[in-house]
Amino acid sequence: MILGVIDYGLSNLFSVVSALRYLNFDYKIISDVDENSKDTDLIIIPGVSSFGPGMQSLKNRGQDEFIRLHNQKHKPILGLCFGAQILLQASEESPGVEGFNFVPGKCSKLQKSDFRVPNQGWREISTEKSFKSAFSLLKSSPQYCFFSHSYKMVLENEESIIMHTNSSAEKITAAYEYKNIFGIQFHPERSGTLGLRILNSAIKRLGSAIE
Amino acid sequence: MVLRIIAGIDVKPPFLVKGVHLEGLKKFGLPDEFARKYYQDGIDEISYQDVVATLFARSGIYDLVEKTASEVFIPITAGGGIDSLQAAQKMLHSGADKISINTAAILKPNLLLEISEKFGLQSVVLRVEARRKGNDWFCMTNSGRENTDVKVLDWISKAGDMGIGELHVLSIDKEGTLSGPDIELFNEVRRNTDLPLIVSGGVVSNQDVLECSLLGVDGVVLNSALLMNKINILELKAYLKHENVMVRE
Repeated sequence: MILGVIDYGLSNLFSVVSALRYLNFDYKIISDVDENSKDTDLIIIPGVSSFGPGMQSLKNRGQDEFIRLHNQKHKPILGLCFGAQILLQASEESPGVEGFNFVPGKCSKLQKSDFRVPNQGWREISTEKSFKSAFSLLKSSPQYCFFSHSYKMVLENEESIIMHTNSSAEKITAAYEYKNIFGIQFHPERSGTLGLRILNSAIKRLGSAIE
Repeated sequence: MVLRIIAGIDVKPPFLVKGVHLEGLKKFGLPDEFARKYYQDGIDEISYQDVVATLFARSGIYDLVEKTASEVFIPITAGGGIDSLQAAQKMLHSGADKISINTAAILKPNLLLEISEKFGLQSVVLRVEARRKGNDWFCMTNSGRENTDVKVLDWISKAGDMGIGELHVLSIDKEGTLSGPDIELFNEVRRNTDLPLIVSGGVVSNQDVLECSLLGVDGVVLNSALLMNKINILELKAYLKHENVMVRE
């Protein structure tokens, strides 16, 4: 399985790639879309960016078209943080900017009454029962992942939400699975061994659909 | 809210160093080895400070950050000598999740906004080195080498609009002394800002960390306490949990 990690100049590419190396995945970095990119089986969109500027960077490098074509063929996509958000329709962060709209839903601003904004730090996550064993998350003690964002994902299909945060008045989508797409709001590559396990499981799960 | 336990590591490349009031720096080994150990012991984040970067007008820890980012999978903050958008970008591309700025922010406050507009608020930490004089605390720069007449509380009151994701307040008076934190300072700061706040300087016991958390800080940076084995990370977290403070397990 060939993983293609999109480099759009703004993200924390290094941490994501380090995690993939640690997990023994073969990957290539896609900066310019060329002949080399064509055989990518699974696209990973890493993320540390704001909605509008991030989308613009993808467009500037022709990566948006590449991602669209990939999705049209129902090939798997993994979005991390910004990468997960940009696959939705839109975000209050950048009015007027269209996301990829592969996943029905929008991003809205976190309310200061629920969190400090940006929501940055370790938050407890809860996983849907059916996914617990798929993600090796059967341990019963609390599980924490590292979040860093100011906007939350609100999905139209709530059944797509497979992980949410557990520890506040408002539940936030922590991870979703929608058709060929997997989106993770937190940074699995920065959430210690738990995060690495989740990243590993997500890639394997998306990859199993390829064969 | 989960209290973040952060390992503060001072670096005079290529060595980990430790001083008192950031002076008299002594070498203690290699920083990435300590970072790895703390990660294995359950620390939540690593915060590297290049304590000679502003002094020598260049940052020397890009390689260190790269090495650590490739083997330690928790958030990494890096600071020391970052005085331009380019320097910030290079540090972030080397694998840092956040960059920490002190001296350059006091000289040109616009820099913070410039960096956060490009990379996002969450990537910018304002580091404040506070030294007490009478009833006030004043900002120091250049890793505790130079005094300014900027009052900490005045500086912080402007911080909210300056494009920062988080504030790190370090007590120079207590730094390296292992004599307990400057609770009064941290309390004043907490009352005057609702930015995410992490604190350091003098913390030596589990009780000290609890005291800081009761003030409402978001994280505590441990430096000498970890280096000199005064605090054990696992025991600290068990203690905090027992005292009803949420920590990452």
